Amino acid sequence: MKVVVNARNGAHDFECGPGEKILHAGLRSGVELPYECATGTCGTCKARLVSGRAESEWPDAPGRRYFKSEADVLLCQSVARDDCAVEVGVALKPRQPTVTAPRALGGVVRARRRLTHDVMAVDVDLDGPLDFEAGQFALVTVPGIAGARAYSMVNFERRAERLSFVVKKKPGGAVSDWLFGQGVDGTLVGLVAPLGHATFHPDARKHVLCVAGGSGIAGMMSILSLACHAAHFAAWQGHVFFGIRTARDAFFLDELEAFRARYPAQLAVTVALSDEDVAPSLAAGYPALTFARGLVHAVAGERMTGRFADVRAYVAGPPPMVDASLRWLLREARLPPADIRYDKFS
Amino acid sequence: MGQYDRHVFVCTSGETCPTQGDTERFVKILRAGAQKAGRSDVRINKSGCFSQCGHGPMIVVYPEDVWYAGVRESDLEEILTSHIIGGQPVDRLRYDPGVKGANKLDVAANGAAPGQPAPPPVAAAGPGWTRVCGADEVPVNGMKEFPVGDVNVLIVSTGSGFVAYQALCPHEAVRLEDGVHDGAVLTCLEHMWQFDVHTGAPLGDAEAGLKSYRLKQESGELYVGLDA
Repeated sequence: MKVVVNARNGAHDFECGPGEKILHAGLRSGVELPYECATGTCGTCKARLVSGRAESEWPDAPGRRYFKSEADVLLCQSVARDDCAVEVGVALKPRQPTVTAPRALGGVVRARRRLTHDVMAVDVDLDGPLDFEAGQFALVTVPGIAGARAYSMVNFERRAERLSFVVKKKPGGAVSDWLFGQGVDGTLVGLVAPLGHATFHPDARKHVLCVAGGSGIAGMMSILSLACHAAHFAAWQGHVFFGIRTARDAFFLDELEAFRARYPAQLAVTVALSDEDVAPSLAAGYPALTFARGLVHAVAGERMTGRFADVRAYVAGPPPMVDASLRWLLREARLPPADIRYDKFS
Repeated sequence: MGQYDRHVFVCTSGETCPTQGDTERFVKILRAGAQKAGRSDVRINKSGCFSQCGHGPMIVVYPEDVWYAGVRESDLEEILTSHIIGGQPVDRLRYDPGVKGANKLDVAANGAAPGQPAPPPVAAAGPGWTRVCGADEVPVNGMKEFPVGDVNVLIVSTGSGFVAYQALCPHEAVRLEDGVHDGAVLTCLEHMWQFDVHTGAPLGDAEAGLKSYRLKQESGELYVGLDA
């Protein structure tokens, strides 16, 4: 099927495979269609179907709330049923040649490791090597459950043959239930990767500020991995704020200490506990980390006051935490949107 | 020392609070949130009138003695996570009328029928002008949406005065009231479109500006000219 996209700066066309989402086909072909969450929620990939037939695989996706016409579709959920023409209300940005276009891959679930009572580390071996940017995510589809979930990569390497994810068990979450269940190791899963714009690149000559809540720390680990590997912290500072509820929700603290050990003067890591005071035993167990009581954006706001020059911020976590952080970064820190990178998943 | 670490009062009576928002529902949402966070040391109570009618819905939180006015359901999450659970008051919603004690608005005292907005005193400002709100109903250095006739208008307190714009972002029709401004730049949080606070002109990635309305202030009341 051929799909033509009319954007404010001209028309682009590409081939769409049977069953392939229009968004994925476009991005795969180098057409930079607008998107953020790629999972039907944010509405950024909204387009108007001008001709042809397209079907949504999730007709009730929350991104529908932005629809203004019967002909509106979400490109991330829609499959072309014959040749289609769609219209997007924005100008398409030119594709950056250094960034890998997403493609469909197969993977096998390998090592799973419990990190906390409701967080699991999951590794997936890929059927071919993949390049991605630090901070990007993959869409994962598991057998027998409709719809893809987005998980940020924890690792960072070129030509990666394995992707590491962090999965939080959600009440009633079919995919997380499955991933926490029995008989999962060795199972084939489908992926579309790499996706996402909340990326870190050492070419950005900026201090790094990471504000993460819960499993939102995943992408930050990838960013820290690359920043350490590229010696970014030899010249620039890193400020990491990791928000959790209580000590039993903590994970990756050893890994964060290891990053710190490489750049003790330039990299600071603060763990914020929202629901309980910091136990002396916790602080004593991780002498290289700083602990504080409070909501992560409030703790970050307090400790970052007056240090926002040349900062680029990366934010990930539950939507209320991301929202509160964005408010603070725009209003108090006065960072321009170009220096605030975030993924809003719900 | 009291019996609770934090004690929250939601006005569910008085002359205007119950009609300015579903305050009974506010109580349920806050209780469910405190319970979900496992906070048995937090108590949420329905309350009688605070004698601030017209500024509601109102919520008061102790021991900080912080008063919130004009609370919308969409604000509850922030009040809950930041203040009731986190201990950090939400400054943008704070009520600070500058007078102590009872502070009812005229609309309330005049006995406007519940659920019915008071008739706009057009004559006070002359033809072509429609009353929007009292100047003290807009949070200082904040912004708030008001219905004016058939349209909704965003009133922005810039620090040096007030300006009036279309209430929805021209991008995806998201409420600008839910965004932020810092006195110079107004940002819609949904997709980060930005506008000049003083002119409504588009900045950065924004592809369209904000429609502005004529605005004037008289005797503490704000009026807009919708024909502009």
